[in-house]
Amino acid sequence: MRQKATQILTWMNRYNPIDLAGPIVDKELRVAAGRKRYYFLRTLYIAILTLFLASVWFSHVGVSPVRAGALRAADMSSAGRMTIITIVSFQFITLPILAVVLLSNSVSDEIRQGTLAVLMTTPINALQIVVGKLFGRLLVLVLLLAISFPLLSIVRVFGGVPWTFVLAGVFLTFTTSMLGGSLSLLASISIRQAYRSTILVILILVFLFLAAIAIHTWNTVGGPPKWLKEMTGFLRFLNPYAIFYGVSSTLLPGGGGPQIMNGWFGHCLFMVFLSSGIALLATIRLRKVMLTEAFGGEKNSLRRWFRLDRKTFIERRAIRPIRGECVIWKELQRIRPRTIQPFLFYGAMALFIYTITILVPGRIVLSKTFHSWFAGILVLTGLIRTASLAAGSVASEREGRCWPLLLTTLLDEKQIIRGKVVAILIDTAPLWIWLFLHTVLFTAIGVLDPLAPFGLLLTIPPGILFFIGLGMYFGTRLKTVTGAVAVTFAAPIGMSFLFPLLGFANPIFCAAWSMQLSTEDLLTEPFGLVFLGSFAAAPIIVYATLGLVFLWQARCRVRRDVFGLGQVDVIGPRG
Amino acid sequence: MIETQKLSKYYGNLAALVDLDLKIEQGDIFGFIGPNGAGKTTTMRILATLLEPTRGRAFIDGLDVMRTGKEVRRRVGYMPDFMGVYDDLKVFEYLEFFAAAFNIERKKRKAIVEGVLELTDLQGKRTAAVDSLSRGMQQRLGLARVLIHDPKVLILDEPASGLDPRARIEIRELLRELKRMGKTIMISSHILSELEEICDHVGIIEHGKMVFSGTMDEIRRQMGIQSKMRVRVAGDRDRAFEVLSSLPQIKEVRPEDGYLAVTYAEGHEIDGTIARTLVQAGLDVIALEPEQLKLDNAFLQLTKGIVH
Repeated sequence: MRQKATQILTWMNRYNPIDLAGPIVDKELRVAAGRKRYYFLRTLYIAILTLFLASVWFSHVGVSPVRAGALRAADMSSAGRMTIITIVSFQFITLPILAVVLLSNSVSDEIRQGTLAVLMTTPINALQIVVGKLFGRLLVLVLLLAISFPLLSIVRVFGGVPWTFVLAGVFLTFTTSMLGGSLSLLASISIRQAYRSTILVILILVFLFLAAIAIHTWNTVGGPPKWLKEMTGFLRFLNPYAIFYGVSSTLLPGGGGPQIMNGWFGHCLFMVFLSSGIALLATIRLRKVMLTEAFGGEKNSLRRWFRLDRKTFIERRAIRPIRGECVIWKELQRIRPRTIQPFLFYGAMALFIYTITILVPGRIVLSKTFHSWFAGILVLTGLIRTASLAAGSVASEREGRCWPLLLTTLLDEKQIIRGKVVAILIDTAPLWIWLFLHTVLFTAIGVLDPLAPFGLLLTIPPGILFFIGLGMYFGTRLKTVTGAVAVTFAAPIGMSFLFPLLGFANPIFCAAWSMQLSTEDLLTEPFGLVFLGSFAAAPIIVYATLGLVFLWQARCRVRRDVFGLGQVDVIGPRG
Repeated sequence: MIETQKLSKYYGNLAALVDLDLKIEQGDIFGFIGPNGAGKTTTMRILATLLEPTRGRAFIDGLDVMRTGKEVRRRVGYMPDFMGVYDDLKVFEYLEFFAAAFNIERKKRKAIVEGVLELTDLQGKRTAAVDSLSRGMQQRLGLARVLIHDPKVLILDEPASGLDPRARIEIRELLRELKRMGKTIMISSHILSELEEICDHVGIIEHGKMVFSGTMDEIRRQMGIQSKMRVRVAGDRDRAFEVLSSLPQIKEVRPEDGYLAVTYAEGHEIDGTIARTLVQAGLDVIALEPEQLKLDNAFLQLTKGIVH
């Protein structure tokens, strides 16, 4: 009997989930969780959540105690319900993104520091690394999720919110975070720059989000054929955002939306299986990378044949002579080593958008709403690309320790900054030209108002200038590309919180609104032209001015703190 | 060619350089030696116009480094201790880029790049991706880069670190070639014995202060360091020990691996005296090997007790 018990205990010990992950979880919890950026993210998360809650509470209950008791109780009930919806929704939106950010450098950092090959010499296997990294970092999120439990339990009583909703919200948040985290981990094995894997995975999540909206709109507005409708039901089941919408809409005033409260548990199980599958894929991929790192094995022959491998591509291509300004030339080699790359990307994007447009019945291409979405998505894509390139243009040289080499040449600050700006504009030009030609074409055939192209011309350039300036500025301030890109994206979001009007008049919304413009309305509506004037002036003046200020600051900082030591070193502007 | 006057650099309360006075003549190879954190890299970064000193002045070819940065950069080729490379470029493109960055005309660039590739023996790697090069090759590429605009002064921060013995020898030969070309070279290294063979002058720095600057002979003279001679005799070694110990110039004699290690005061022509005395005592001298003071020893002696 005792022998049997010992056997069972040994077996349990062998397959103990903590031991399965090995010492990696322990290391992650001890080292990674103590990093400065983790503290920053946690503080930011709690600060924004508190801000949201405060605004929801005061908008429903207010500060004045003069209302009658019954009304007061109704207010409390409404506030309780909205508080819970706010907390759960906030967690559902932010935590998966945090999971993506936290896991974006999980493997790439090990590869860069050369510690992955060292891990190969230990008994730790690839599965333990993947599981350890994933759960070590997801535990940080579980703590954030747990912060809200006491509040949810108390406030739930005011609003009469069913436990099922709270549970569904928590489970959906966790499983979506798990999906985002495992995707991010998989991306970090192949993509060395953390910000690139972050953007890629966030784009996948955004795509899922947009798909959820599209499915809902399609069902509500036109309605697909029966066979397609059945398919959309299945698609909704796969999409966490669609499920969350279904769950939360039952609690919203009016209670509209599909009643699919019962589907969330099955969806969560599916997401756990999907995440496990991705983690398994990551394990297989990681094992290959570990072997290559440790023994310098041959790269995938198919990738080499198609010259997808960067080194192979560079070695096989012909020497490219420098034409024009050398900084522009060098930047273009960095940001798009293959000249055809952006055209392929935008081509694929165009094919996807126009195919969807043709497939969707109801002549959607003739509606201004479609063109608003189209412009919004394209401007968002272009500005993400612009901001990440701008932030990386200086930071990558600092990170790669090439910056001092460039600064000991005869190039001055103006030439360096100008070269980098022009290269970014050249790289993103195809996207802007596509958007402009699309707008002009649909204006010519009468779908859009003649004001639309002018609206774009007025709103997009200040946005580009703003993001270039912001990116360049943080690129000269921060030591790593990922840090610079993260702050470049976070700064406008923070700015929008502080100055909501500025956030409201952002280039993406403005570009989308440009498509809705109507000359007739503007001339007939009272204050129409005044509205247009302020609409155009806000982004132009504010964003362009901020962009120029940041760009100037970036230029002034080119020779400061060249080695990232924190001191102020300026030799040059006087030289 | 290179001069600093009371050059100081502070990072907060930490003094990286304190009143450093330095003078390097044209065509010299100056070895800059010091332990980690001594201030070598800081000095070189200031001379390369990448750092501003807290106080003091620095001149290159008579030009004030702080006031005429661009003119100084035209005259200086700086190779940092850890050099990054643009990993999206080929070797030829990398050098051509820097040629363009130094405003070299497009027509002349190709010939200049080919020239430095030949000088650094990198012709075979001209189409290779920069980040596919070995560490030794990347160091050579770094040297090729600093030579691209034909600077008068080369500031090389530990160019031989991390290289295998063969690559070190090749770098040393390359530096000799550059000296023959009339370049003034300031070089820092932890491989002190290598500097000894190529440097005209050395500077030993510790805690931001120059503890010595001069030629190898001047080191010996200034420090009053004793020199050594290794003597091997056939027959009675004890007798030889007694004879040598009786000589007034000799400070110490002790047996060492079958030899007698003789320590004497610097400045004495001792070898003739030793040989003559031993022969007169009826002993056959098999070997008489002077052991020169090594830079490593000087470094250890000069910095002894100062390192905290």
